[in-house]
Amino acid sequence: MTDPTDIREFLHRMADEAGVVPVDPVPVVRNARRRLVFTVAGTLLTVGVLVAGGVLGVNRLTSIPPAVPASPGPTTEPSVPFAQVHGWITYRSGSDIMAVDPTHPENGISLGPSHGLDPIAWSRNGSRLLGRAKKNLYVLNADGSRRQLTRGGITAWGSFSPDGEMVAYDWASGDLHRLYVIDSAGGTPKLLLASGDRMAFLTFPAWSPDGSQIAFIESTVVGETSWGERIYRLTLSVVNADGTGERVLRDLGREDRSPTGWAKGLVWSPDGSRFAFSSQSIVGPASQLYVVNADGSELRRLTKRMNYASNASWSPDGSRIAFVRGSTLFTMAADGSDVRPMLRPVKKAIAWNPVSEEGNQEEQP
Amino acid sequence: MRGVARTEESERSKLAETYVRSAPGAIRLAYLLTGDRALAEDLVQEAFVRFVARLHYLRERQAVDAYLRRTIVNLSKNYFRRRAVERSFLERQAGQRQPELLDPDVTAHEAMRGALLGLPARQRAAIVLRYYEDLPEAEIANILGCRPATVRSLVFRGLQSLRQIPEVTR
Repeated sequence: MTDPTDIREFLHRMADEAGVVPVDPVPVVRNARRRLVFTVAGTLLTVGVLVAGGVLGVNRLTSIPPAVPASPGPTTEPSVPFAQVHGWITYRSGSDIMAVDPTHPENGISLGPSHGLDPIAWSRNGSRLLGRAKKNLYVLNADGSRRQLTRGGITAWGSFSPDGEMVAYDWASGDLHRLYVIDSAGGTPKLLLASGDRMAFLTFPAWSPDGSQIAFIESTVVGETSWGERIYRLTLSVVNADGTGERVLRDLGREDRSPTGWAKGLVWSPDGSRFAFSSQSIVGPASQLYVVNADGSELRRLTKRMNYASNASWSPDGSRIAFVRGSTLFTMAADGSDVRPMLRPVKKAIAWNPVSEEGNQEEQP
Repeated sequence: MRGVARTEESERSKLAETYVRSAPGAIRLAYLLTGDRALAEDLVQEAFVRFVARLHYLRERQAVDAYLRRTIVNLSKNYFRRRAVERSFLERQAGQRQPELLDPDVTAHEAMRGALLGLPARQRAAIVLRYYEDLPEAEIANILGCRPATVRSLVFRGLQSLRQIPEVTR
């Protein structure tokens, strides 16, 4: 397939997927030309309106935090009680949010329609599920109600506080990058950390199991290529839950030089001793899973010969990690051994319900 | 005044003609670089918006094509640099994979597609420009802002990476 002829043939077949055919340089008939004048003019007018709207929107975003009123929002149909999926792994398949029993993968159950929501985290008592849809976060409650937490900008990740009452999330708009915390029932978000004058992304907040800290991945611009692209250096950092005491736990390296230079999907182990994350390197192997101690020491790659692994999620006792490779859900021991494929197809993110089947995970006061 | 109006109409006509002629090819190129039809259309639209600003300076067809090609490659690279967007893109790609496809041709095509889109942006661009657009190394180097030797290296490394995907190797 890597013969140039095959490559050419493949590229032309793939380009056909775009659904348009190249136009030969033949004269354009007058009517078509006139229609296209209107089309292009309309497109340009639309772009102008969007640009104007974007400018106004940016001004609005810079002055107003992305607050969301505590409105009920759209709801899903009341479905399977969340208590039935304690210790199960939640994922999206087709149009439903599904849960599967990791010890008996033949046992699966629908939690109801997903409405485009990808599950990313459970509250510790398993009563609330955090999900993302179209760049915003939503909370699904056990009664089937669904509440939108964020609006505007792009939010990629969030994490519940141990008591499930608050959610930390990242938010970006243009070169503005911030971490917020918000009541999981909605309301006005509180700024936790802003990139300020730094050219930095603040992403993937993970609330510590003891509630005292929030870890995150920071990507700082350290240079620019000769053709004008930014180059980032990534760090695993942490900040106190009140927004003070920001500090770096580990330098993950430059994205153009380090296999861990493109970390994402940061999750804290249930006992608070380790982090897991994935990294889509541009210099090393394709996306891999890593673990690192909570103090930033002993970074280890977990996946061997498992390219494209991502979306790590810890089991309730921290002994195993679920992840997605392609569209297959896997679990493996927390040291990277005993990799077991579980099921497919799985779309996007997953979240392992943190309540053990015996129900021994209690809410913190 | 009538002359000015005629000139404006002429400019609009040229713009429309350029759009008709170049947009489909531009979308195909953007699609190969992104693997996403909607994103490809967005990039091409943005490229044309930029092109309008340079309409007076780009009279020859070759110059227009070169400008659009370069703009699309740069826009696709810049777009991928926006991490949040790229995250959603990668996840979307992961969601689209269908590993249970039984048709060997389809499986090989999907594997190749995944492998191509998994390449670093510059390697992908170099391979697409070399084997789809059939551009000479010097022109690819001009688009990517590097030396021709670097283009050779990018193409070589890209092909090497593609060979490491088991499903791609026959």
